[in-house]
Amino acid sequence: MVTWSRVKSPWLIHMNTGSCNGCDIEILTALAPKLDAERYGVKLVGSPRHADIMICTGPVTDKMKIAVVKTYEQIPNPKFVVVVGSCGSSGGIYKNSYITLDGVDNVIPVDLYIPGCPPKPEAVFFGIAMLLEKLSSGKLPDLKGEIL
Amino acid sequence: MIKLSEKIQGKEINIGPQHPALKEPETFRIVIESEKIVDAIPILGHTHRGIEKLCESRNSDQNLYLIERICGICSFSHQGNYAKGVEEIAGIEAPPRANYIRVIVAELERLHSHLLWLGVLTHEIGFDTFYLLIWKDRELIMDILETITGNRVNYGVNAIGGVRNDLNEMMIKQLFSLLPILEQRIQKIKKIAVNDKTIQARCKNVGTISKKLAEKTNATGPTARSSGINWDLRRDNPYFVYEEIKFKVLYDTKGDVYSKIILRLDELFESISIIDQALNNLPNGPILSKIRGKFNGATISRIEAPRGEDLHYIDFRNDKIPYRIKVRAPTYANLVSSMNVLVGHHIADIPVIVASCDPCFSCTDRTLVIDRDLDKQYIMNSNDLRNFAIKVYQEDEIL
Amino acid sequence: MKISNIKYDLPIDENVIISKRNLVSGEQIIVLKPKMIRKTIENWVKNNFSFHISSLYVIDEIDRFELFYYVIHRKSNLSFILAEVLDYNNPTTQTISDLSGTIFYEGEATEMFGINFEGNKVTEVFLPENWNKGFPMRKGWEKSKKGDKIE
Repeated sequence: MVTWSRVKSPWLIHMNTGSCNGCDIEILTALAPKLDAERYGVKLVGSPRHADIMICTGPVTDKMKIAVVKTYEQIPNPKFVVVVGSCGSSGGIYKNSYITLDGVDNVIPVDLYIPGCPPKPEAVFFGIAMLLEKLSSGKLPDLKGEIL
Repeated sequence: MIKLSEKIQGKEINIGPQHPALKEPETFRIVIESEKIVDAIPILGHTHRGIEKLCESRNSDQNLYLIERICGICSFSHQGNYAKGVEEIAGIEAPPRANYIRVIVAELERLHSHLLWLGVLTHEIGFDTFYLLIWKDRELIMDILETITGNRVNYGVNAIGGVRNDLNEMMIKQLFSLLPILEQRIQKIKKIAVNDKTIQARCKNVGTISKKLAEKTNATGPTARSSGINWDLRRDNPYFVYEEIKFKVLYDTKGDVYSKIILRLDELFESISIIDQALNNLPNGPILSKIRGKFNGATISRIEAPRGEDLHYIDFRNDKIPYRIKVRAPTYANLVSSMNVLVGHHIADIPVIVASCDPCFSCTDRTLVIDRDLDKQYIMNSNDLRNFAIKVYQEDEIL
Repeated sequence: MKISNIKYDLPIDENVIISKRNLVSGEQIIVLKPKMIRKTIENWVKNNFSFHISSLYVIDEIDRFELFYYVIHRKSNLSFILAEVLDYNNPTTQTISDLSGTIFYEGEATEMFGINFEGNKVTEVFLPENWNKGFPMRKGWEKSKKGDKIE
């Protein structure tokens, strides 16, 4: 029952950890009319206390580190972290900068990476759908022959 | 961090740095007395990625793609500006066809950026229907940008010496057929914006930037133009091929948030007309005069980005790698004026005023309210703040 | 518009100018004597010379710092650059943040290059609080240890 409701209404909190805004507008596009992720119950919420999934974009700057950890701690268990974009996954183009931490996984544990600079809204949508699939069945869907 | 003056009594609010809706993380420290704001200080740097330092370790071609990622919304402006600067240093000129393509992409970017801004602003005042309506129309522009350049956000269309992607017949046809539809849609959006009472109530006479303040704080772009400064680099310091294109520079004298909405919407019609002219005059020929190797010289390159004047200082010293690159993005210039304007307004007006300068950051989430008298802290998130703002205005109407 | 195309007397005292040179893009760099920038700009404010300071940037020349103000005269649309040479070991100059909206530009120069603007309280703009690793934009500055992984 709990799993069912989690899969049917995943609530997201969006956290910009120092990205260029490119990924952020693509996430919003995935929620806006063209794709309309809200028809699957996906909803963007403002408070971490309401959220199930945390979406991170950006390579985590020094100044954001504390905010990322604090927000992550405030999300009730079980919680999932999705990283959108190349720089959030590995540091990307900002690698070796003096102020970035080269990826969200250096700060908090990450469940799913959606690569791309920025990924298309369809890819964001697909990534979240995959996470939900994993939640409901316990394993990742078979993606043989699928090209994203 | 800035120390607040000891004399100021009252509550201190921290807004930020995490935001649920769209924008970049940023903190504002705001001091209030009952409901009135008496001081506002932005705390920047949550998205500081050290790009200027990184530029000093990469060569001129690699920097194209690094500089593009300064901002995902005005990515073309930054990249085009850098490419233009390096071309100046190298002493070459991009072929005319390349410059026309640059103008087309720049104006398409202005279209999508202004619509995005209006969507966010209407979201901040609680008018979500309008926000979704605008974002639906914005997708038309994103689709055509994807067709032309191959990408939706970071187009990667510039190279040093020209552009990478040519326009073919199919794309030109598609663009021509899109323009009247777009004009019609924006007409419709403008009709709603002009007639709607909610927008008027929340935006008229709010956040008024006087001409004097705008001049003193070095405001640029639509923020300055809505305050009566008739200044547009496309006309006053023409670059690419803007001197061959006819367009009006619009300006207003009121300076409040509402006049910024109308000004930006009117600018969109000009952008459509610029694209139309550029497509009609598109010359044939090569699109890239490739140049590689070492450069020598320093230049300042300026273009009119959607948010205002974007300035790059580029300095090469007989090397492939630049000695120094300095970027001054438009929001950085407009920030001081918006902060000054916050003083004297209500807490409920913060989202609208901060959003009105079209910040490349901004943040209204997780407001930490510190009551100095009661020594009590509580946290408001952005939704709470928005709901609170909407509630305050509803009560005002009833009274 | 380039400086060569226009004839306009710049309201700058000839006695304080050390040298002039041009950028590739045509703007003139006018190097002033130390601590004369504030006086020049005070004069402009007094005489209603309507100007716009687009940017402030610093270059590390290994043995000295050079500080540049990019200025645009609004009426004639004339752009030029005021410059000042600062000592490497003790880079100090006066603030103009009360005359024009350059408060954050100056704060940025302070934290990135260690330039001291007398009278400007803003010393941190982009870097985190309690940053003690030096001035990152100086030449030869190497990044030290990165942030530790949080378990």
